[in-house]
Amino acid sequence: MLVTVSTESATPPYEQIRVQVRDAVASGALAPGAKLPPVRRLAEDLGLAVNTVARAYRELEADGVVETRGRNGTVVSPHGDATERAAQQAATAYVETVRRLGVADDHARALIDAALRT
Amino acid sequence: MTAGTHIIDRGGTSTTVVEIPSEVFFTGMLVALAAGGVAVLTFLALTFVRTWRPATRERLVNRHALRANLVVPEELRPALEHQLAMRVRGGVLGGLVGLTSVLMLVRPWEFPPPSLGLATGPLSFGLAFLGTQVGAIVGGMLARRSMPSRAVVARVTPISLADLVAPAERRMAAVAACVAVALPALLLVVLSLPLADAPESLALSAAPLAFLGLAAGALYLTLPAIADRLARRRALLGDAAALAWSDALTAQSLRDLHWAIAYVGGVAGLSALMVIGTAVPDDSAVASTIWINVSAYASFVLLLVTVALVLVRSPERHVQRTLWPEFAIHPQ
Repeated sequence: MLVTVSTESATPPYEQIRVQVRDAVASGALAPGAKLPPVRRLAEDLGLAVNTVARAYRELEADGVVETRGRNGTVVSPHGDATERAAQQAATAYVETVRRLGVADDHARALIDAALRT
Repeated sequence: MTAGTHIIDRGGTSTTVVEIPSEVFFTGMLVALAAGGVAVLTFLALTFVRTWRPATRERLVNRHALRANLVVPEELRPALEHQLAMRVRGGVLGGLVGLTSVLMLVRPWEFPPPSLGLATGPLSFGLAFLGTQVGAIVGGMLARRSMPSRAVVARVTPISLADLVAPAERRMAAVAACVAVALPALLLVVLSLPLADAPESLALSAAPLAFLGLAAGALYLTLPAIADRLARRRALLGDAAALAWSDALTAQSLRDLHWAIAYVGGVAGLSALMVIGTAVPDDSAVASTIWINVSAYASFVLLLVTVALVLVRSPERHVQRTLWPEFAIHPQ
């Protein structure tokens, strides 16, 4: 998996890194447990300051996408993408709610579609 | 010793045999060796100096590009030229160190010179080649450059030896490493048997061949770690094309190490196989001769077949085929 940082983009470099790693975890390109390169090496390869890459890793860790294990480096969270997990929990809660209310499945889906369109 | 000894054969014919004094013969050998050494040094010096010439640098890049089947974007060319030139310079200097160590090993100025028997050739080649390779790798490390680009690319997941070196070359080195370890060990066992009767000059080869074999085997086992280290230390920083070329240069170094293992290990192993045939008792001289001849011819044929089978698969394009198909000069 490659990460690309555009020098002409308005998006800060750390955000570009964060989004690409998050998307790679979500798509399965980065498997749970996969080890990310050390901050210093990734910063050197990308020509960025160490703090920039460190910030990307911190934000990924705050989102639960990766875990820092001290001297063992940073790895993709073994529990998968936290964003995906949170979305799955919200979907499960919604399904439990609409079924308790007696709402038909087709109507429940239509309500979601309407909410997504807003 | 005097010159001009007359010999009269059974037919009554008189023949003059010129006897060359030993001192003259070996002095002549040393002079020839020195002349050869000067020629080699001159060639190396010229190669070193030419790396500063623009035309030479351009040819270097073009040759590598065609071999690896990778395009060279114009913005990458200066950094790539510098990288390749530094590798050549490092290789020349490393080769000089290797040749010096070979001279220290064989010491041709001594009489009689120390003998390592059949191990002399592969050991000398191994030392010289290792010096060249280490020098090229160090030269490349000193030449790391960033190329100007709108986007910078880095690899997050590591690549392995299998991504960089073609399966045919990896198998070739694996077989050679096994042969290199097994056959010299078998030779040592055979020579230790009570009935073994190898000529002393060949029996002396056993220990050096075993050492060479073990060295080839050990180098083979460390190849994955070497690949990891070289791949992580990128030669060229920049966009995807720079990463592709970094991979190609890493792959070239690894491929050279595979071929070195194949040559040194293969020659050590097959030489041991031939010497085994000389260890038979005197009354089996015919069997010994047959063994030596068959093993020599079989080794030569095996070498040719191996080289053909490996090269026909264009292993030098493995990185482009597996990692960077989008950068092919000639799409496959």
